[in-house]
Amino acid sequence: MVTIPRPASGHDSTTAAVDNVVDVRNLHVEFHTSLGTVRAVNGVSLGVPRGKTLGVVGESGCGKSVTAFAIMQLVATPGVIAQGEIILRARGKDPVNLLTYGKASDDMRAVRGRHIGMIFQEPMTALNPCYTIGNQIAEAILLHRTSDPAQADAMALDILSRVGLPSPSRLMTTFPHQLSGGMRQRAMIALALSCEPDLLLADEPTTALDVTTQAQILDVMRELQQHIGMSIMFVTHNLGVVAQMCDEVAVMYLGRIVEQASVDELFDSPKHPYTRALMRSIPQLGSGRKGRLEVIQGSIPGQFSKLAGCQFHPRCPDAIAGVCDVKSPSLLPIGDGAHVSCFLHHDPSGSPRSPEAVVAHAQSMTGAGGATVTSPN
Amino acid sequence: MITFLIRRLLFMVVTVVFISMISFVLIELPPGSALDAKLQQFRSRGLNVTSDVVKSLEERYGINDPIYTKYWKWISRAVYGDFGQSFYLDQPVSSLIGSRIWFSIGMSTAALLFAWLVAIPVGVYSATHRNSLPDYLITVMQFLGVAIPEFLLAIVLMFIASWYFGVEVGVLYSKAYRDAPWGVGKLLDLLSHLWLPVVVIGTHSTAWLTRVMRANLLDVMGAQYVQTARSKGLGERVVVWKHAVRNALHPLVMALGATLPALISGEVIVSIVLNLPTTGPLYVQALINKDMYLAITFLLFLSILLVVGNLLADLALAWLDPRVRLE
Ligand SMILES: Nc1ncnc2c1ncn2[C@@H]1O[C@H](COP(=O)(O)OP(=O)(O)OP(=O)(O)O)[C@@H](O)[C@H]1O
Ligand code: SF4
Ligand SMILES: [Mg+2]
Repeated sequence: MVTIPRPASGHDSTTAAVDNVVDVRNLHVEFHTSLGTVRAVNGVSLGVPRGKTLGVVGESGCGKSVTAFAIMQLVATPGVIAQGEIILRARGKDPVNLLTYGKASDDMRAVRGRHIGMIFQEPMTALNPCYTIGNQIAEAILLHRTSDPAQADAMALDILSRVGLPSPSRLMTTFPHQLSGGMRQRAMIALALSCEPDLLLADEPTTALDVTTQAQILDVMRELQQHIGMSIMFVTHNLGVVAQMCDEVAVMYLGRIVEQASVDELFDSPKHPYTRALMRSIPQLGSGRKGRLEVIQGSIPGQFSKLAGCQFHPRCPDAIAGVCDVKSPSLLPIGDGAHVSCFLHHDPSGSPRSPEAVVAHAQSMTGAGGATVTSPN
Repeated sequence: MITFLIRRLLFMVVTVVFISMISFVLIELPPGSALDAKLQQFRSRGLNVTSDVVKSLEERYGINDPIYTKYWKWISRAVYGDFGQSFYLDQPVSSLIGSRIWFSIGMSTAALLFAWLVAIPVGVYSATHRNSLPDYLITVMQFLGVAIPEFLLAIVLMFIASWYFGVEVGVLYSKAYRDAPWGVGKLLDLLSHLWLPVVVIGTHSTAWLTRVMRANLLDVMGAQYVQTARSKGLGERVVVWKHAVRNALHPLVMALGATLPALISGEVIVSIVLNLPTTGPLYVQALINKDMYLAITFLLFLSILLVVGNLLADLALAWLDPRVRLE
């Protein structure tokens, strides 16, 4: 239904979820502030397929960045990970639940930078102004790969020459403020990939850049992904970028994943009403003057408010009275590899069903004069 | 960097000349002269001072010269180390100041070091343990340190030192060493007497700098590059000391220019209270007696000290921050 140009992709959604580098299960992150508790991440489950790119999209404030930081166990105070599992399957290592490591433990520090790297939205502030690019990259290498400074410098130079920066050897002794935004983001990518991690967390890495630079950065990321064979979790607002970059997409709403599917699947037949609304809200090529952008009706409830039932039900055009406002749907597989959290696609007991069946069910329920759903969990 | 230094040095000379002119004018402004005070002194001793004597004295000291002539006479000799004569004490200014200025410089420098050595670690601790009990205690101490006047602190510490520890206060050396030649023993003795004034002089700045350090570090700890450092797998100690503190020192070094005058005025007050033979009490005396060449020379040295201090601060900043170094 959406016609965003994207490369003909050969990925196959049926094999996607089999081998995940990282599986996040039922993650809860809470910020205990003086005003109350903000449940920024409220039961997120997602998986990043090995060697592939998972896009994470959703409205501002829905918890995308917090999820990424939680995977690193670097949630800023006063945030705490209240519950959940983060399973890392690094190459040549046994799977491990990262949340069994203390967040300041040596085990966790050995994961950061080594198995999981991270890049951020603001390249201007992501590098320390006091140290040279070479120093900052070599610092990570010295931590994880070698204890020989000369060798670390050589490795840093090697990775710098791979991110498409002119005269990498001069860059080694250059300070961040001497570089443009695009160059800094390349340097940042070099830093994050210097230890060839299994997973790269990219939190809106191109949002602050102009379109041309953005395209170049995306190219560099794709190239290095091939070279290193890593997976990427790509947080973005830009569905065009998702179409270009990602194999799978997870859609987030209010601290939860409402749908995860292959990118083709998601663009061709979005399942969750929120995803559908999101798709209608982006401009379509060739839609002419008649085509109007749709705005998702309603607004996000306050940070501290607690909502019974499906978090989207006040804004959902398809909400089923007596079900959606009472019971909260879970993220469940719906057959073709996709996962959706919506009663239109599975009934309250969890078994998949067609939307027609759901509507019929709802009509029969309202006709019967009330909900027969058991108490919310 | 070299041109930067030369430019700064030239600028410093101009500044000092300018300050000397302004202070010369300011000290000349109030009516009366040191000669009046001198004559008062003679008369009180019962000497009969005729108007002829007054006239010849006035001529000799150039009392009625226009101000620029006076200034020129003084400054052209000052370059050669002759700062004129103290009217009141009948001694060359250079010999009066020479013996004391090193104590003043030494004490201000020691107070500065003390302030930094205490403020940085305490500020870092306070920021990295925000809202803990020690942080609250440190905050209370800070407010006390800023609020207590220096003279009061000097008196209280003096009392404690002499009453409980039997330390002789108000002197720089014990009796045994007062006239002894320089040696390790005398130096240690000097240091044992010096810590008290140094602590008193430095307390204000320490409290203030701790506050600044805490606030800066809290700011910097929220910066993206601190998260970057953590995401590499660095330990918190390296993150704080290598990546955060260095960036947080920036405003502290810039504040050096403001800290120095505070330390110097603190030194004046504390030396008066503790009756130490530094430049402070002498300067105040000179102002009271309108002993103009003595006073003006003090001001000259103070301004040189400040200008040099500011240069050092700028150099430190350039060392600290490549953005300053590379313009
Ligand atoms: N330090 C904090 N203190 C309190 N609440 C916080 C803090 N950091 C994040 N939050 C809460 O977490 C929620 C999710 O934030 P997050 O940064 O993950 O959003 P996001 O999806 O990345 O948004 P954006 O697209 O704007 O980057 C926010 O709505 C906010 O209420
Ligand atoms: S569960 Fe109900 S309210 Fe929630 S998205 Fe699905 S239909 Fe809409
Ligand atoms: Mg974000």
